[in-house]
Amino acid sequence: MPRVMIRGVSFFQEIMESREIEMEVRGGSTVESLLAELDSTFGGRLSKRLYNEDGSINNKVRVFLNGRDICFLGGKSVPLSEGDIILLLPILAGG
Amino acid sequence: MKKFTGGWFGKLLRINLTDRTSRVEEIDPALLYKFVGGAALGAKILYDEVSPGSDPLGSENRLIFTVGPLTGTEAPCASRLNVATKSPLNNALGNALSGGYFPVEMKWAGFDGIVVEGKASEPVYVLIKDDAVEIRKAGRYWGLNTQDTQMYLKEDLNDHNIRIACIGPAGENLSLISCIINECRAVARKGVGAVMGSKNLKAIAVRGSKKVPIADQKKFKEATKEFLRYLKENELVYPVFAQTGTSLAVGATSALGFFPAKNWQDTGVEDLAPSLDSNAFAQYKQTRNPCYRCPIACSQVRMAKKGRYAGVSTEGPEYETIYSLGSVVGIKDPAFIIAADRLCDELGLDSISAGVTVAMAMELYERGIFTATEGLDLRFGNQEETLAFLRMMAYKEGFAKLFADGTKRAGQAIGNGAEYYAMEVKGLELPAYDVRGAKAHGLNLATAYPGADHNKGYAPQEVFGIPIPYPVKRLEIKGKGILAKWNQDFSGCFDIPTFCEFPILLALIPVAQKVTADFLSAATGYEFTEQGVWHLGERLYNLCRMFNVREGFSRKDDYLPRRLMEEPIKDGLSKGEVISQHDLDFMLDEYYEARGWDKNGIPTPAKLQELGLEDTIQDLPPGR
Repeated sequence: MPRVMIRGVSFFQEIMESREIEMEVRGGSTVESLLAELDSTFGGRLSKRLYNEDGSINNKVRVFLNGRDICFLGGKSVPLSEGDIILLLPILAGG
Repeated sequence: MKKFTGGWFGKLLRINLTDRTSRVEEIDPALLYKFVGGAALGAKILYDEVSPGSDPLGSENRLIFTVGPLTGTEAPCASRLNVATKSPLNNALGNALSGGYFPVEMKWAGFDGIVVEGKASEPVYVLIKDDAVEIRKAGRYWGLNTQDTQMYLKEDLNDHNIRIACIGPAGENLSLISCIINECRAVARKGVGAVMGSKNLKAIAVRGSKKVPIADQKKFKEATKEFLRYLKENELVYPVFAQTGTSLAVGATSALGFFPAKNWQDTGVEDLAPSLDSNAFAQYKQTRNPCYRCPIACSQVRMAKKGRYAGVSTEGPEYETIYSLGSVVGIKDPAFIIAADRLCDELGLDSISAGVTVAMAMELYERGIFTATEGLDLRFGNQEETLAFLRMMAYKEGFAKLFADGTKRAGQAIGNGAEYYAMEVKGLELPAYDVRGAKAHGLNLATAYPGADHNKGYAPQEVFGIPIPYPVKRLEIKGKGILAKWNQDFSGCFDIPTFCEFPILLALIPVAQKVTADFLSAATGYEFTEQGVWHLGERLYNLCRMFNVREGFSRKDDYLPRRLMEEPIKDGLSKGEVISQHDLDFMLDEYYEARGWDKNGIPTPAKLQELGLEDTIQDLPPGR
């Protein structure tokens, strides 16, 4: 089964209680199914931050797959492969 | 033009240090309407008063302090100060901004701007109490660091609430990477501290008692309510940004693989967030110190509590300093960064430029290009040596004199290929974004008028994924010329009125022009529109470009360091990325076209006419 890494910044890190989590996923998994599995682990707190009521991704957070915003990769249904890195990022500012 | 009924006082305080005189001048209401305040008003005065070719460290240069019509009012997050000067780093127009309380006292003293000209024959400071202005001897403060200067001056004046902007030893010694400090806040970059030092001006102390008039109180309160509503609704402002400040950004840029490390050799090689992000700094937090009427209070006061830096505190370090005195010099110890940040504030060194210059020296030392360091072991990661080197640069001691004016001059002086390791644009050191992984951000650093200033056209779309005006692919070059212009012109919403950039980008970006226009209209009694606010930003950018053009700048000066164009990022989520010369040329062509400039980066007469900058057309190079 492919292994993927999920990395969270700010409140995502707090929800996950870690900056990084490595997971094994079933073949054919997508970003959406991975996040659903992760969400159940954390009592639904992840999805509250990630999604709008209609299931679309909240415009105050971004989801990256291997450093690319998934909105350019076909959205949540993008399939996962061995070694993928998913980044959950609240929209920040500062510098 | 009818006179405004609020926001501004319409007064400019002019201080001539050569003959030790001061006078108050009326500012033309039409000029205020067109340039408003902050960066734009300062740039306009500088453009009109400093002739091309003049020496930035000579008596003709000006040091222009400006605030905006919202400064000192009840508008939230508006206590900002701009200092405009001809930069001694590069002869470009240098606008430097800071928050704190000095801008508020200056406004309450009744001034929209203070112009310092000439040069004193001995160290002096300027004392301003409303209309009473004195130029006093400052010999007893000369040589003191910025914190002691403020402490003793307040004691001597028996006024602990007077606000002071001053220089430290770095500015006195004319280091071109020196800054002006008010409290612990830096008006930094562009060598503004050296300009102040060249005038023998140690400090300006200001106290005001005037209330800023507001043209339409009802509308002003509505605009304030609206502004605060956007802040309150943003779950990142409260509690996240308020509790962590800009250090929060380390987690994002490191995760995306563009937090620079070891003089930009090792970007992406290691995820530095576990060592240097806001969680890593949490245990050092003491309290927060807000700017005037800022409900966020992002500025974190931190203190090292044990070990060799125990007891040292600082306001910060901000994201930029975590890079410049941390990752880029190969140091992952938050306590050290707190101590080094504090030292830079005391010495009056710009912590970004100072740290990046240390990093260059370290790389030259490790590569054997420059090893004449008088026994100082300047390898990456060495803490005591970094602190010693910072002090030596501020005092221009020994070999450090070669580095005290920043990386570009150090590279030129050392030769033997050293220039390659100078991470600068137009002589100004790069801030904390490895732009090989964020192309519009890179284009901004190449084209920003003062040099590599991230705050003159920040690309939040690439750095944080903000999807406004639209989502962008951070690694693509197409469309980035248009985006860089959009981001640069956005400054009409913060550097001019003046607002802080952080709340605007965090919580108000979709409505920023409207909110700004509402505030400006309510404060001044003039009518400002969303489009007009866009034009303010565009006018500022074109005026500053023309200042630079008049000094001989053109496309040749819109470059990036060769390392970024030749060496791919080694690892991480931006691995393999460069901005090649071809990439940069593509983006520059698109950018100049979007700006209405010619292929050489020179504004066209039509564009200058459109923006009401007809006066500058005569300064275009011959044949245009």
